[in-house]
Amino acid sequence: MAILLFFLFAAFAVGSVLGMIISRNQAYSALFLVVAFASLGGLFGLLGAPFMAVVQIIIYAGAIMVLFIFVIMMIHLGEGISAEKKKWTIAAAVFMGIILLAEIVFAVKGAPAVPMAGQEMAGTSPTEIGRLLFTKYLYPFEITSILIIAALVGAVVLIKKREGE
Amino acid sequence: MNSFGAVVPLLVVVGAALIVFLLEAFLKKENKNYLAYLSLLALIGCGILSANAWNGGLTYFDGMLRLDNAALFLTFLFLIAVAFVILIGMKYISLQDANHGEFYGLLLLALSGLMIMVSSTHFIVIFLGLEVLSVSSYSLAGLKRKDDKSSESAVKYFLMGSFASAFLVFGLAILFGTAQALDIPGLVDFFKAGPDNQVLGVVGLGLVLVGFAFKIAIVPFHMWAPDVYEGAPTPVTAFFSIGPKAAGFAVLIRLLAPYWNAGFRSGKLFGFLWALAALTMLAGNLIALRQNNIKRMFAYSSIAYAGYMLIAVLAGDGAGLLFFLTIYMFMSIGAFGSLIALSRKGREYNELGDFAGVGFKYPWIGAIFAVFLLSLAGFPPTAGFLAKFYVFVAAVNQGLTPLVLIAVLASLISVYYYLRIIVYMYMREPEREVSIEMENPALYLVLFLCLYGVLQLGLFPGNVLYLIKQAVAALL
Amino acid sequence: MELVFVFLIFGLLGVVLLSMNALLGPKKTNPDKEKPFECGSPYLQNEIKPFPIKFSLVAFVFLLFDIEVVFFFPWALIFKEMRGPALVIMLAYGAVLAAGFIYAWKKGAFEWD
Repeated sequence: MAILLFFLFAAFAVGSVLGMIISRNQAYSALFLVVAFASLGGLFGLLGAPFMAVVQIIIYAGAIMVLFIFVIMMIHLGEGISAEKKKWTIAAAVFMGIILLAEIVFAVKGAPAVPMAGQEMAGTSPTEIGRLLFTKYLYPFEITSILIIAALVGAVVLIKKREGE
Repeated sequence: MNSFGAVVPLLVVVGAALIVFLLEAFLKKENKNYLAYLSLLALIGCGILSANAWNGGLTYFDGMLRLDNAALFLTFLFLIAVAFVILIGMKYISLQDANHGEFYGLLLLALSGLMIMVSSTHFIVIFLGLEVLSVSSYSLAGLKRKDDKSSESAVKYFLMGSFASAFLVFGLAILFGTAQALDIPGLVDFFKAGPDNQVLGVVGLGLVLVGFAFKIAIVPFHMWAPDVYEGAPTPVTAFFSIGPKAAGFAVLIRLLAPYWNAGFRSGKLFGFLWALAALTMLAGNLIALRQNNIKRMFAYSSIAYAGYMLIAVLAGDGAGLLFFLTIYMFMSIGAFGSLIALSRKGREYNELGDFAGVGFKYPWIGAIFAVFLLSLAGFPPTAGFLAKFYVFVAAVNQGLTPLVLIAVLASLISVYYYLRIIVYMYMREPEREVSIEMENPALYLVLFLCLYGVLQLGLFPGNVLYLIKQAVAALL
Repeated sequence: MELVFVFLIFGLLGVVLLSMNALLGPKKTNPDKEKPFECGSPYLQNEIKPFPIKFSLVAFVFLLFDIEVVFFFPWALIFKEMRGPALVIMLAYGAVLAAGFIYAWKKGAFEWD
């Protein structure tokens, strides 16, 4: 059954990424990316990493995409790029694509034929992550609250209009 | 010793920051001075608590928080620096259209980030501390919201800072992947143990160093510094010149100190750091020659100073570095404080031409500013001379004579642009009318204390050196 | 096996909801109606118009509290094991964020001016 779900998610992921690239409207591209992230979340779930799956959906498909869409909506992207620049971007894209392909080939060649042993996955269950997060890594965890409030205050003070402005 | 007392100084600072934010949101007073007093009270409280922890070696959170003497010494340094910045900023923010109470709260949060960074040996904690510091700094840089340069400064700092953080995280990921550890002792064991995966480990370490080099503005990762320093509100610039730098170097010596007596000078990264130091000193001082905006000039000067500090790291001279940082704090805040003294409502004088004849019109401010400039240039009997002298001697003793020659050459170059300001102040006819706001007692207090610091440390540095000796003992 | 059912049920539900509009909605169309409305002149651009900067604050606040939510997931799973300490930890965390939330609220971050 898992293999069926895998192909479903994989097809969705690849299809939506293609849609993202092909779509001429940037907002559609962003929404396609949401679908891609969500399918990736499903794939993580199938790999036995539910925490990663949840993070993938909440953070990437949720929070990061909101910022993406916001940026797309805020700045002018309508004009596209000039033909002269387009040549260069195509050349760069082909170059990067070849490097990525080489990387993937190397990675697949180097990967162990047998899936990783069960003990390697032991640390990735959400309960295990919780145990680590709230005991050994308690200090970093609490620091993140300071980080979040610094960002929140910074955003409010820089963006919000003051009274009388 | 495991004790909750290790967290309390940090809690005081963070708690005060939260109270400042809430008071600012609820009371909405036009005069923000009461927030400054509250923040100063918190700083004093934190200082007393930290003083009690001296020699205590308190730890908490499984040793992730480690209040050793080195951390405490740097905490004192940061407390003094932030207190000075608050004092020179009180009048400034209302005069220069940056009248947000958040100024104090964000400064306290930045301080908490600094304290987190210097009081841990675990890279996750150090990274989070750095991010707390950086995120607060980005918004501090943009506090003059109607000023385009201030906004540009915030955006640039944010983009470049995020870029640097990405390098840092990538390096940490590689390090963790190869060494299976992110605490400094664990990493040191890994690198000392053997050749397995060493190459990948060094790549990771290199990326981490690049990330820190961005934050402490070492050439060629310094591009953001001049624009950020120029655009940010001047008290914030004073904070940038000392806070992130000191914390970055603190992490650097924590990381490198275990190697100082174990083949550091033949290691893989030594040549890399050597070249960075030479490049930083020369490029920083040479570009500073061409600057006509004082804040930009100080930005390049602070870049050059990062180069001198790197010599102390290369020479394995922890005490020299801490002494250097202490003195640099007084000089730098004093110099920026003098710039603030030469301003009035809605107008700052930052161009070199503005300073023509200022020395006679405002003799006191001119004289004090001149002392700070002479100290930055490294003239005896000011502390600036002693700081460089100690570091250079230590470097020569370690056989780094070529680097010291470059450093002396760079210092000589720097004399020109520091003295140029003094020449303008005392030997040029005023080109335009300069009038300043005279009534600013808090600022004058800071100028006086910095002047005292620069002269006291230059003539009788014994007490501070004694403390520094105790602080460095914790590192080795 | 239950997982498959969950995916099937919610997947189907999604498809049903998506196609509901096409099935039930009235379909009265003509070529002119399909064109974007531009008063008198043929339309020139199909890009998205720039957006008010006000939205950035909404996006940002959402992002920050979204990150907080992620931490609740492992916390809920570990709560049974840790009980008291876990509660204290999350209360401390929540208190800091609540202070930030109250600050943002009083500053009018959620008002549409």
